[in-house]
Amino acid sequence: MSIPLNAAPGAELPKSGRLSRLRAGLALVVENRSALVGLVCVSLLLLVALFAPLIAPYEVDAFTDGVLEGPSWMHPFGIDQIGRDVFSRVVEGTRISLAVGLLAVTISLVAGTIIGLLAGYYGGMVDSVLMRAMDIVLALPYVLMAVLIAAILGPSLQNGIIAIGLVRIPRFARVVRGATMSVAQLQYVEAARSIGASDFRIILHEILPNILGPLIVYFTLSLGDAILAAAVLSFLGLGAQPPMPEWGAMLNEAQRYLTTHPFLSVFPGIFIFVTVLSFNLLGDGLRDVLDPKSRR
Amino acid sequence: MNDMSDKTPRAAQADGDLAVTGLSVSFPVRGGGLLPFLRGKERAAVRAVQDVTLAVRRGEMVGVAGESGSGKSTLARAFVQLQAPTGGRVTLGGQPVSSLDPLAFREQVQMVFQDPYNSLNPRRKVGTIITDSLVVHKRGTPAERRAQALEMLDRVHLTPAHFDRYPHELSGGQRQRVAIARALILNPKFLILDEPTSALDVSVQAKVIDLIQELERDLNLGSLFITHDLNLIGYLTDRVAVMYMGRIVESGAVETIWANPLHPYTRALMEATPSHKSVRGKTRALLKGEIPSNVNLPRGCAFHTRCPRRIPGICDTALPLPQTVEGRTVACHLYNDLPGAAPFAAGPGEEPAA
Amino acid sequence: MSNSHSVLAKIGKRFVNSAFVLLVLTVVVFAAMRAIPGDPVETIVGVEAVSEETLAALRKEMGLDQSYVVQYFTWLGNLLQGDMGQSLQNHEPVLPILLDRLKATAELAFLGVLIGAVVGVAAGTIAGMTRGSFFDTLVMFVTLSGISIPVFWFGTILIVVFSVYFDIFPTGGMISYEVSLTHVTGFKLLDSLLTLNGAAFLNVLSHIVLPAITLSTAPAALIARTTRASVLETINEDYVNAALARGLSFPAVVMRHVMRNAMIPVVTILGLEIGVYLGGSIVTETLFSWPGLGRHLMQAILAHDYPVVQGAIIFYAVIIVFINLIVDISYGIIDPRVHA
Ligand SMILES: Nc1ncnc2c1ncn2[C@@H]1O[C@H](COP(=O)(O)OP(=O)(O)OP(=O)(O)O)[C@@H](O)[C@H]1O
Ligand code: SF4
Ligand SMILES: [Mg+2]
Repeated sequence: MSIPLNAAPGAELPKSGRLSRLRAGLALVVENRSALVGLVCVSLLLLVALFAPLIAPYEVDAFTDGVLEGPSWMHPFGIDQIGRDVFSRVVEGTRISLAVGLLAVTISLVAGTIIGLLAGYYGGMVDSVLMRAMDIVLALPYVLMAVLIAAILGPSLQNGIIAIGLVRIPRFARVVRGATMSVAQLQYVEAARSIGASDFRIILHEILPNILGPLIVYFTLSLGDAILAAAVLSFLGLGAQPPMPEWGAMLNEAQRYLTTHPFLSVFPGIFIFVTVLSFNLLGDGLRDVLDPKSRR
Repeated sequence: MNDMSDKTPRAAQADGDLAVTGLSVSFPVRGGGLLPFLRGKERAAVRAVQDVTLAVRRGEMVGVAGESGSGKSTLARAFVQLQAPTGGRVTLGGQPVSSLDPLAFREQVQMVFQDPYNSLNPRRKVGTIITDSLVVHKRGTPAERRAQALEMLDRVHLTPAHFDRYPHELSGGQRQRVAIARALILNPKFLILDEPTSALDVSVQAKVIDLIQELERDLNLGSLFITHDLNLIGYLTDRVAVMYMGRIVESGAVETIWANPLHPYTRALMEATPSHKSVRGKTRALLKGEIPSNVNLPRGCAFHTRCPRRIPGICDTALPLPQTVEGRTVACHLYNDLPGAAPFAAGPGEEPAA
Repeated sequence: MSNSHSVLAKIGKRFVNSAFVLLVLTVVVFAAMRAIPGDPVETIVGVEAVSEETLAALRKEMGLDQSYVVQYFTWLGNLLQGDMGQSLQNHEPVLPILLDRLKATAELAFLGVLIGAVVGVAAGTIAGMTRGSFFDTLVMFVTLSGISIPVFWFGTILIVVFSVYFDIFPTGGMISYEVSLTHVTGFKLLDSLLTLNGAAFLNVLSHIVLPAITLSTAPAALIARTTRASVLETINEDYVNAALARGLSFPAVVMRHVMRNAMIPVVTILGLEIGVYLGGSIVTETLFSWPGLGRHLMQAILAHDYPVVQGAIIFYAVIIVFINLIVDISYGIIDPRVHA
């Protein structure tokens, strides 16, 4: 199995200084239309998440006057089966989903980066053993991983996060391993060794900073996937449990009213979709900017 | 590899020399899997360096010449402990370097790499790159390191302004100066330079060469200068070793060899170099033919497939041994008193069966 | 060293790797099942009041009084002989149930992936050939949406539109109760064809359309994007230009050279992402009450029926590892440059 994400190490950004390089990078993002749309949407979602309590007109579990009412001016997304304002719950759900995605992908990022660095830098036996271990994880899709974890620890959002995080470790490890291998053969790594730098120092100072490009791209793309996965798990009852206003869990609850009150299933779904799409747009755009050699 | 200490070193070693004795480096060829191993066959290997003995003394510059792929870089990397030898040993001041503390060794022996576009980390500033040597060796406070780095920048004719630049803001020549500063800030006694100017524009090369010469003299360095450029060796170095397919075929004082190269390969190299008119005799023995594969080395003298003067029946069967002829060491059957009397059988590999 | 030898050696190595992965997975699954809180014996007897002696006897009978290592090897031995234990819900042996459910999953997955591959390759090829056109832009956007859309939500929308609103397709299930079908192979579409049972065929078909479309979105999207990229790459190759120069028409060249090369990314994607799609099939089956392995697994979890959970996970793992093995091997044979 080989993943076509062959990383471009140290994709060079234009000239001079950290700040102006950042500015140049931003300019590239802006030029790239899909990246721009993604950036704007992600920023909006972040704002919604940040100011959720100010935006939501009701408490997430407060009861309103009605039950199972369609969208209206007072309740733009309608009222659910026990009388809660769906709009407020969906807004609060933004917080949950973004946090869940970030936490899960951070698990994958940290573990996958460490494993990928070690495997790519040392090669040989270390590489074989680590990658074999990754093959084992790869044979378990996240739903099954979540099933296993839920069986032991019980179904919960937290365990769903662990499952999603675990499952993506091998993918990060592969991206990082590939990038590490191509950086490790560059002369500045050898130069660092020749002044006596330890392996740890070389990995930290010479290699890691030069594989950040592909890593950031993959991180962004993974955020969308992880948010999607979390919603799926909650929908299956393996993640967030009601009454938590997690989008997937809301869709699970709405399932029973699908034939009678389909509007309950519409808005949480749209939010998942738009959120994931935004991260994918941003990730695709970032890849064109930071990691032009690789294509999915 | 067995202990080679019973072999007498072929070059006399003064205390303080950086030397390799009987050094060999081979790289196993990837692939082939377990099967050949199970069948008890020897694994194929690239024999990059074979049985090389060479010493560098302080205050002396030794040149290494040879075609591409002859093993020059591998030899250099073995000298600075970036490449573990598969045979022979590296010594510093008579001590095997494997018995030295790695940091103590690196303090004394430093290297400048070929490609300055590749040997500086693009994400680190010049100042960080240079002071990093000191950080690794735990020398000084940050302020002292900075001062030392600035002084070093001055020594390599850069300005304090370069301290905060990134490598991509520098020209090739400036980058190579940074690489030299990085190596010299540790105050090494020996400097290994692997084609330090070949990636630079011709106009810049001369300046970097001047700098290297100046520093070598001022700091009383012992250095190994690797290059394709025979003119440069003649101009710069005291002694020269000519390599072909991993072996030294001729070595000695530059004046001696340049005045009268004895090995047919040295002659061919020199004749291929424009400004060398000094070659005795007018046989235009330009280098012809493919360089053989260094996985399946030719039997006998590795040069016999291209040598204009090969002696059939001898050169293709027996390995010519190095011997002293006219004040230099040369490994060629033409200068062997007893042709074909080489004690060991020819063939790839001098490694004793383990 | 001969080439056929190294290919064989490679295949052998892959095989050993796969077997090793599965072996470790059995350890993981076994450990996970033992790590479940609660006494399995008490789970089995449930709420009935039973004496300590009976419990001890039961424990002994189930081998639970032995060390975990012994228990594992006993369990593995049984597993290798096809004995996955009994379902706690209905005390039937697990393996036959799972095999039966697997057929329903296979029918759905096959159709879904087929639709995905056909639609994906077609859309990707046309998009690649008409790079920059409106159609191309549309395909790129729709496929990105296809990757981003929650499968179960997309299925939900299909149900709302086609089942609830237009009432064209049933909301779930595989075959209506009133329709009878003779059992031949257990694959219902196939059986209805074999027994020339038109009514049953149409009935199963009407049930499978929505879930198959749902399942096909993710592979269709990814395959379309990859095919497009590979078409763009191939179009610039010299031999394609040469063929054009010889006077072959553009579509003819595409059919001949480009499509052939496009098969490689399709196989790659199916191999790499098979785990993801099987995960998607679990969700799809749950949503459409499709009586496959995935829905059975989800029901077993809710019922704490651990022998079934354990068996189903191992089933999925075997399928994933096996398909990866096939893809790897066929790669090594198709393209000897591929290793790693
Ligand atoms: N890490 C390695 N693995 C396998 N083979 C190697 C490795 N390093 C060098 N070689 C091989 O060893 C031989 C000698 O290489 P080396 O780089 O030492 O030659 P060189 O004389 O420096 O050539 P150049 O003038 O091109 O730099 C070459 O055939 C090369 O392919
Ligand atoms: S030993 Fe023979 S083949 Fe080799 S250089 Fe001398 S004459 Fe030529
Ligand atoms: Mg070299």
